[in-house]
Amino acid sequence: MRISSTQYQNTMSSALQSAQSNVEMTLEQMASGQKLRLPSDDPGTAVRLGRLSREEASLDQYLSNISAMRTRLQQNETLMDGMVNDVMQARDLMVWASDGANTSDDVKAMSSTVANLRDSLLYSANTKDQEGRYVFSGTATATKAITGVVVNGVEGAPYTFTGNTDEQKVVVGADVTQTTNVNLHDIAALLNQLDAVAKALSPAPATPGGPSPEVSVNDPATRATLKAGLDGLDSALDYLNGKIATQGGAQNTLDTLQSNHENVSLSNKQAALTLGALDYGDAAIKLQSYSTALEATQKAYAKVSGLSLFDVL
Amino acid sequence: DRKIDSLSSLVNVQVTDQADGSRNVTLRTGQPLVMGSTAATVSVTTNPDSSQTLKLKFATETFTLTTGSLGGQIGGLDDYERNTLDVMSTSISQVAQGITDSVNTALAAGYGTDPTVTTPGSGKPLFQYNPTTRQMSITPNLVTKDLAFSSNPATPGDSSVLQTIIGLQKQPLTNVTALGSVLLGDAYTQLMGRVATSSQQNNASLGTAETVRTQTQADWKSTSGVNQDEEAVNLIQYQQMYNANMKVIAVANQLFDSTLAILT
Repeated sequence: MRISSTQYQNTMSSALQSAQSNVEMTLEQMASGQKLRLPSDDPGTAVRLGRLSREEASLDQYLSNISAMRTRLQQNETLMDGMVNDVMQARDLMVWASDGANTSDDVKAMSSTVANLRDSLLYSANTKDQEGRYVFSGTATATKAITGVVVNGVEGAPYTFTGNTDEQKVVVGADVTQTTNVNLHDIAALLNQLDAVAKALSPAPATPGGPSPEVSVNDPATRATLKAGLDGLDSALDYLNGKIATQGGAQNTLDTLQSNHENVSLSNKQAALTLGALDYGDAAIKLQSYSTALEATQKAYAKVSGLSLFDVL
Repeated sequence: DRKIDSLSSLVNVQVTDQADGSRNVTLRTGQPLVMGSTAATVSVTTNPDSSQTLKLKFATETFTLTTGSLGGQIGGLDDYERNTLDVMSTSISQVAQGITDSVNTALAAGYGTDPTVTTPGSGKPLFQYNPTTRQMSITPNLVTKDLAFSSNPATPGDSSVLQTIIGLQKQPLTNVTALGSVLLGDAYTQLMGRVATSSQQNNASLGTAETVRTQTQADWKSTSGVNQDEEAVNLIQYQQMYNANMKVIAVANQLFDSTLAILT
């Protein structure tokens, strides 16, 4: 093919342009550490990386939900532990009261302690969290868990459970939910029994302001009340311990889910690195070869453009 | 030539040579750009539906340029605007609208923690979609107790509406015309994939077009360009021929002089 003299300039300028654009692309890749500068560099990989990062976002959210849920479960457990202590104290008191050698005054003193324990259990069961929602009412978080009947402005027996037994669920995985709340359905019955014991151990006076009647533990009616109280306390203890164990089981499940999510997240991150991270050795070699090509072209052009017959004439 | 070359990079032109050596430049579709010494002006107007129209004004006539036949950079930009940019921005706003509608529908059936709201279907919407600006935003003045996550006004701790909303990301969005039916969580990735593929195709076509142009230029230069060495060789040849001829003339002159000298 016949070559005109301006052809050299054209070849030189197009070679310069393509070499410079290659160098620039390699420099951009090295600066960002990513193989893809734009999605159009490799659409398939770009879509895969997009899906991986979306899954990462979901996993992060699940992990944060899990840690929020742990706090709540911890709170449930602590409160119920407190209630268990109260129940055990009441139980000890009952056992002591059942001793026939107690005098009437001893027994009346115990009665006020029993009343205090009953109130303490009531307050624990009606705990509100920082946002003013009742903790143990099931999903009816705007109503108290245990409500008594108000007589002369004083709330007293009979107590009823005014929450519900529905579960609050939290999403902790793809289509995986966990229950996060506890309801204290059977505690109302316990409170009523404690109230009955307190009244039996310290009966109201026959005439207001008059002397209170004598109480004897050996009296069959009083004994029966005390026994019923003791049984109620035992079953309440089992109930509360069972609920605490459920919380522990839930924490274990959360542990497993958390480590699963973390493992999947790790493998996603590795896949993202494999797909998108730049191989610096490869890039450095490419950069070197582009620069060499550029230099060689420039030198060759300098030589060739100096070749002219007019210099010889 | 150079000016016509740069003009042709903007639009497809046809050049006709006139008898007096000047050139007329017209668009492929016939509208005149340069006739003799008069030039046309091209302007852009924005239509109410935010698309754009090109108008060509030559002397006293105004033409509206139809899209699709322009070629060059202007044609390319127009094609991009219609086939890629519009489609993408419509798709994105459709995704936004789809999300807004699904979430708000789910919330409408729920109840918040506000105890005074007990009529069914009165859950407040969380998102708002504005069709004129095509933007999605959060409802202003929304407070925590308006978030209608519960399905029962008596149990504000219930979260079944919230679970429904969380499950929306696995539901298909059906109103995105460019993609058909996609899962809500996947719509964005697929749109990005479409843009990436179109862009890659465009880059490949650009590379091909550049190669063809370079080859054409090389061929043109090969036919009509000047090779200095070739010219130098010819120059020497002509010089020699000139010298030889000069020699012949000189010798003929001498012969003539000699002949004349004999005669005198």
